[in-house]
Amino acid sequence: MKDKFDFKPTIVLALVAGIVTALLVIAERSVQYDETQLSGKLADSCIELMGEGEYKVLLDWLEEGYPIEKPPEVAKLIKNTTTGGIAFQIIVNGYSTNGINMLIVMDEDGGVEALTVVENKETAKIGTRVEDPAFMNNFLGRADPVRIVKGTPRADNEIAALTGATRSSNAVANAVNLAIETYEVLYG
Amino acid sequence: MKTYLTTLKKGIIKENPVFFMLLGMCPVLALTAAAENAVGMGLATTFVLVCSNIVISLLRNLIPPSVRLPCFIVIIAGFVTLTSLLLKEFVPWLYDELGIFLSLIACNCIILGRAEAFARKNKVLLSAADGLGMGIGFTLALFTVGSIREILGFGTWFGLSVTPDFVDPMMIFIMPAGGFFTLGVVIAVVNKIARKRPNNISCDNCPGKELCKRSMNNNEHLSNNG
Repeated sequence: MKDKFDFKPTIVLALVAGIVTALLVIAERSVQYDETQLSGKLADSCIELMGEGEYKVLLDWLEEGYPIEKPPEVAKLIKNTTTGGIAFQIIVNGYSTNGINMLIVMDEDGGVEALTVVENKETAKIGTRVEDPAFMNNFLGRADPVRIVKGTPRADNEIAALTGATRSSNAVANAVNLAIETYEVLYG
Repeated sequence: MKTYLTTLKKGIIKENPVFFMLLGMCPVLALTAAAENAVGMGLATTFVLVCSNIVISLLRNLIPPSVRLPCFIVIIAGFVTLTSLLLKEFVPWLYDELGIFLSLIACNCIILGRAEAFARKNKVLLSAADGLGMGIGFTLALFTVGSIREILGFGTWFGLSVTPDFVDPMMIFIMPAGGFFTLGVVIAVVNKIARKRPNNISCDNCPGKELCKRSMNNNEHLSNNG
């Protein structure tokens, strides 16, 4: 005797999956997340460093007429269209992957005008010490790539690493160097 | 009415998913370095738990037993996606803080556990009460562990300084090791206070009873030979 194949489970599962998918598509359309808008900590940091104004986020660089595509570490190129200020949001690996999320404001000559850590996922009180103004201020005004060294810096482009946080210090330097180089390519 | 209250209350203390059932440990350890994130995670999970319990209870007579697990998972994952969409839109800072753990609510064992143990056998409102109770219990647990870790590890509570000078923040508490340590102590204390050990423990409800019996038989066998 042949048993009849029971289609009910298949149909129910397909229906449930189909309905859930359809509802999610509708939900996603109705709350469309706009990546060109600044929000949260990044918006606070922008206002702190560049002042109030109309902000514009450029995601597709080629479309905007820039010579290169956005490097993967650069999360956003942010323009304050009121004052003409330019800033990069750069996310680099420190001790932890994507540990340091920085906002670096550039001046017209390609130097670092201001910088801050938007979000720090490094080890608390070890890697997070890179946020200290004493360390951060080393990077102000730099227009050429810098290098982190252990111990006392001997050349102009050298900056002393924070003891115990060499990799976090390197991450900040990498972010600053990337900002300087990218600015040079875009506007130099 | 009384049944609803009992169902609601049992999740908060008596059958607290974290302290007594030891479910959902991943977010409890990962997101309790700060009380704020802990509460955010707790509320997000509660929302998913209540919604999925309601829907699963509504569909309990339609879903054939052979495919109930895939169906539950699809429904739960749907609500998790909805939650992450809503958070990304309306509470972006919390979305950033929770990160990968927001999507991981989809495989939070409390939610599937309640669907399997409660919602598929009970009426809609009762399942909603169960979900809400379990959610509040989970949030409370996260809040307790998160508060202790943040106060001892950072010297702050919800970002406000509470131990300005007299205690130096102890970094170990915000590291993963401190999470295990704090959780262990909290579970021990809560169990000591809230529950006395029953006189006779039955093996009927224990998932490992077969294994237990088998190993006992083996031991007897060995000792007989020796």
